[in-house]
Amino acid sequence: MGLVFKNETFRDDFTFSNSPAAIKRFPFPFHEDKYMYSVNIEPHVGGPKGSVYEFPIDIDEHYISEMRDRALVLEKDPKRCQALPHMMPAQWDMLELLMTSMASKYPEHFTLNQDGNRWHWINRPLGIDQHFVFGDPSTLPYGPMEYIGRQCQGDFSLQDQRDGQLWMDAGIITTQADWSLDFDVGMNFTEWHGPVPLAHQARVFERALKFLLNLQNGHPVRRLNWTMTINPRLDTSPENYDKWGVDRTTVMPENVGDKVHLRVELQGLWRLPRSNAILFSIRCYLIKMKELVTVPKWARRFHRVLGSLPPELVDYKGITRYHATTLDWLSKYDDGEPTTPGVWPDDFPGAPKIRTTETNRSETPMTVSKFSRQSVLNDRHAALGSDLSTAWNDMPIPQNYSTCPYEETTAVRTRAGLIDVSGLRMLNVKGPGALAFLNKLLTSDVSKAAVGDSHISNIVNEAGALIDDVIVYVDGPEEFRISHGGGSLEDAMLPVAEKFDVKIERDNDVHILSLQGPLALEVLAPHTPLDLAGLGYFRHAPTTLFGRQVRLARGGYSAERGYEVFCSAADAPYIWDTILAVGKSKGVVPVSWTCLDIVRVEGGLLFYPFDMPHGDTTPWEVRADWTIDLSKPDFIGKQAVLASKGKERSLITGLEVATDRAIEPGAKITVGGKEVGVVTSTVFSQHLMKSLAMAQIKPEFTALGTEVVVHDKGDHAAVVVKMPFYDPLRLRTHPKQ
Amino acid sequence: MTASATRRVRVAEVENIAEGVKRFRLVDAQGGPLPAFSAGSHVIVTMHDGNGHTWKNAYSLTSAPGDMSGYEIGVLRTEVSRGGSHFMHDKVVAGTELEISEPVNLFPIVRTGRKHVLIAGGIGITPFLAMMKELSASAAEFELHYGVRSNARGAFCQYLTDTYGSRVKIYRDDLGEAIPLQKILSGQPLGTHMYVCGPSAMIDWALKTGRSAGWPVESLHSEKFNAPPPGNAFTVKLARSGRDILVAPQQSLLEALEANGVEAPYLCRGGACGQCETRVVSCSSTLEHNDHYLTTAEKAAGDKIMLCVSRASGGVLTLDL
Amino acid sequence: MLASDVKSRPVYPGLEPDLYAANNIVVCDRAGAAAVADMFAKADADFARRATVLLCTEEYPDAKAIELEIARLQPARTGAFPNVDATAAALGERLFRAQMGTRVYAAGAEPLIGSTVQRAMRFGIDQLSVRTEHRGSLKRRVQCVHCKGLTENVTVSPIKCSHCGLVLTVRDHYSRRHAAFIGVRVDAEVPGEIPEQVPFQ
Repeated sequence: MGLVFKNETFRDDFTFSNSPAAIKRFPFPFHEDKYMYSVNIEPHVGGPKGSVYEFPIDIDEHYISEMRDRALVLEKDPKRCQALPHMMPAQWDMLELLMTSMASKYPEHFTLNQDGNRWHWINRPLGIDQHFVFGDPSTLPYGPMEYIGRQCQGDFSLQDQRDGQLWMDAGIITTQADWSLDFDVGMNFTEWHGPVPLAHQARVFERALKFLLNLQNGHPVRRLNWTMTINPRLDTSPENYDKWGVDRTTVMPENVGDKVHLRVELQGLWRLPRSNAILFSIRCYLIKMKELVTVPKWARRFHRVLGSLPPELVDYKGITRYHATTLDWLSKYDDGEPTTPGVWPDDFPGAPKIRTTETNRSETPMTVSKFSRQSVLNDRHAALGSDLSTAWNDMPIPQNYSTCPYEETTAVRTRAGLIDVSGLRMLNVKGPGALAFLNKLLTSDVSKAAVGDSHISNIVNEAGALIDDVIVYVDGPEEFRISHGGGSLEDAMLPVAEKFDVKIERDNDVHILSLQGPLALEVLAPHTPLDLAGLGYFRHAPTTLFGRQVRLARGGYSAERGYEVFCSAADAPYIWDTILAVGKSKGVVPVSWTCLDIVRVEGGLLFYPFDMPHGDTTPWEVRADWTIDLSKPDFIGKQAVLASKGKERSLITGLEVATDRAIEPGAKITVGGKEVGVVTSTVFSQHLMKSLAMAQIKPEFTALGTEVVVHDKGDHAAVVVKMPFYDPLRLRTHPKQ
Repeated sequence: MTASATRRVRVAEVENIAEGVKRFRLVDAQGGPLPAFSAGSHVIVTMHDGNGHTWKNAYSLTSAPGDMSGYEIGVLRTEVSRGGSHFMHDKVVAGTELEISEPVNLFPIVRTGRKHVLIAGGIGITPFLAMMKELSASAAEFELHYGVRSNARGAFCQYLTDTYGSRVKIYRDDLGEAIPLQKILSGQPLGTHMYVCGPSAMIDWALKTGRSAGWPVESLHSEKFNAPPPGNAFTVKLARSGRDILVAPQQSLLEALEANGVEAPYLCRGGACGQCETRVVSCSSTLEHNDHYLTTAEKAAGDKIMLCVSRASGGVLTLDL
Repeated sequence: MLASDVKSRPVYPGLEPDLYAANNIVVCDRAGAAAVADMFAKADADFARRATVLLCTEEYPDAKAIELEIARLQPARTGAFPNVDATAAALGERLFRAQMGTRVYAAGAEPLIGSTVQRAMRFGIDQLSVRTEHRGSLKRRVQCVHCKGLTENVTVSPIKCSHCGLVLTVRDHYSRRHAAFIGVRVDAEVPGEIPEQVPFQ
């Protein structure tokens, strides 16, 4: 349906190009403005309509041309396709998987009729009509892997599982990025990944291997890899490196748009039924820079990603020679405007339904702001001494006021402080399928939450790693709001939302004013008809405050009793001013985000991603077991979460450090000279007159009273203490009335 | 990864094939094809008795791996049973519906092997039935040595001799015949692999014999059908949630957790695959390790336990859960 | 100890006698012979009696020295072969008739170890079951990824391919199947830009 096959070359005159439709569906791999290596495995179970993820095997407009190029490579170098003798059953498994997928998803191009073992395969684009006996290699013109490999885009390798390892014992590899099948065939997983640099990645491969050894039938996974190529050359093998290597030096400012390509590999992994082997597909997509920049979001983002890439990665990906020239060329397309999170172009037809309400810009004499979200209270923050130069979640925040943050902390702990936390992202999630959607997306059983609950949950990716902070406000059986932090919840939720009858809208209008402290109740209670004293811990309700429509939620981030006021942008200035006015006699003051950070660390509260230093920290490692509901039938990452339980590399732990200042986050922790952990969040608490540190420490060293050493411009003795540091019995947030 | 996703199947046939052994044929409840599998695979069968009792037992698939019309399993009615095999024998008839997991293979044929020596004891014959179908289909060299108690109790003996002729040798315990393993292993060509499945003690003996014959560990393979052994009742405390759960004498630790809504990963439920390994915080009594996964040193260290088969001898076992 | 950040760079754990093996076949060169003698010393006299040593004599100064070595390795039976290829071929002949219960060992320079493992794999011996120890020279066998030709006795990088003449950087990426390290053209991007030769550490 609608696929028009192109006639183009990937060598010599390089006539390859992408149609506008192909550009739009390109698997752009960067969901934020910098690149961080991660395992990023996710289930290969479909994706938005029209995207490259929709079907297990993707056939696109370049199909015929790519197969022609493959045939040319194999003619010149037959060693690009090899299979050790014992891999025949795996070859048949691969042929079955590819043929059945292609025939079922692209019936207008491929047909497969199976009569017992007698199969009839028709490939219309390549003009192939073949009868053969499944299982009998003599009835095909090539071995089964080569036969179907010559008709399917992407490289394929087959891995035999034995001796607790995976062995790449067969493959058809003509479009690889710079590794040699002939050299690598017969190697195991650890060996063929050998040359990848950056020592920390070795642990990544250990975990990936463990995961793949237990890959089960019917649960394929996928991930993306990326690199860059000069000219749309598919065959960038080391065998031919002496022919294409020199291309890297031919990049000039005037030819960047045509010559420099982003090359993305969509990798799929399937367990095969008869052979118990694993099929590993590596499907390559190319896009030239001049095509890439037709999507403004990608132009900006790729410029920023490339500009912030660490030197070892620039080197390993072979980009060094043309890095600067390409960056320079891309800078023309980066106007500094913000990019939306996620990988999809803003107008991708198949992207799930997320609509944003109008943004509100404040009427302040601020200079040009690069952020799409602004608080309407910016002028108040400026007046209080904030330069609004810090941003979080794409919104400038009042990091500091002219007041001393320790005095602000005293206010919060003894009276009440008012803080603008509108930087949190709010999403409205509604529909008959909303609950099921949330239960699939999040780790907790949302159905256990009642209407009026502020339900703390968690979200992990398919590898079981935390990817954001999240709270679900239950407003009705089909009405929820999600509040999340600076992670990738929205990215993760888009493909999931596709499968449910749910409508998701970003709320860019709502403002959240948080009043935290022992006097918060008496300040607000007289001004709302709601029985505020009766509003339970982490409960919320719609009501009015000073006559304006709001939702009040008990809770906060301060370890004090407090309330969050959700109001419209239009009402926010009035509500802010009025709270301060009615609270003035009780000593209520506005407080900054620095103060918020002080009180939250004193309260031992986590902040994504700072307290999750592994890059793939699991919920167990932050002691968030109570947010994981394993009795739920399924949720994203459940398998991995189950598997990682009991295998924590470290646990979030509180330390009191014998020093008079805050420790630098990232400081190393040792016991007996051996490294046991790393510091994640810190504060010098004047309230307690102690240096406090939250840290991720190896489980065996987390018993209360364990003595450790923290290394930060010197060695500091420290001891493991109970968290929260302040008010360990939580008497403030749960006062006895 | 865990084998917890299930498919509904219907029992199409039940047959007594030996004293205490029944063969069951399972077909998809909706009449569709069942997935092809690799020989050596097992499925976890979930049984409900209608009184709230649930059992989950692993059974090797004995049918031809390419036969997608149905799966076959062979079940021994064990004398000391926690109920699963009794349920299969006493309550399951043609028409009963059960749930099975997708096939999982923890005992595959080594494809680079040049010859395969199969050693079976009792109901341990089951994975080999599928393996031999696969090996003979690919014309691979193999021989089976099968120890049975007696003719009456030896399952599939006639079928094996009829189908595989001289490649099968049967040793009857009631006639004083024992598998002459040392003799079998001497004189095998390079590249031969040995596979053993049967009672625990037999497997230990076979692996030891293999090593003493100078065979490298990479050529020795086994699968144990471990039913979790019973023991004393004890309490398991979940350190993180603070919950206390009682583990009854006939109930495994994994089963006690599952019965209380606490799920843990597993793949074999027999102490072999390592999937259910959990950290021990403390134990007020003694740890009883019944698995084959942890090393002697790890067992002695006492900070890990395999939930599916191991226990504490009493008191309170605190787990990092 | 040979070590590298590259995980495919093989590590040779050292010769440990397999006291259960009915038949031990030990391949070594002059430097490796010392490791073999050490291994025999660790085991009982019976172990050496069940062992055959295939000695590559390339690096011995004269026949007398070889005789002395053979005497030192008794009661094991020792055969002498002039180079690595001949030694590997001799191994193949013995493995052709060998049965399970045979254990193979290799000690000496890396190319000798590699050829031994490669030959053993052809006879169905699992590569991980061969016991190995590196002794002596750091020389390597290198396969040119461009022409697939093998260049022997490589001690520095970059090196000229002895078949096609391209100058190759020798990477730490190793293939047991080829028993060689991979060599990739060092000046593919800017022909003629060749870095200084550095010996292997």
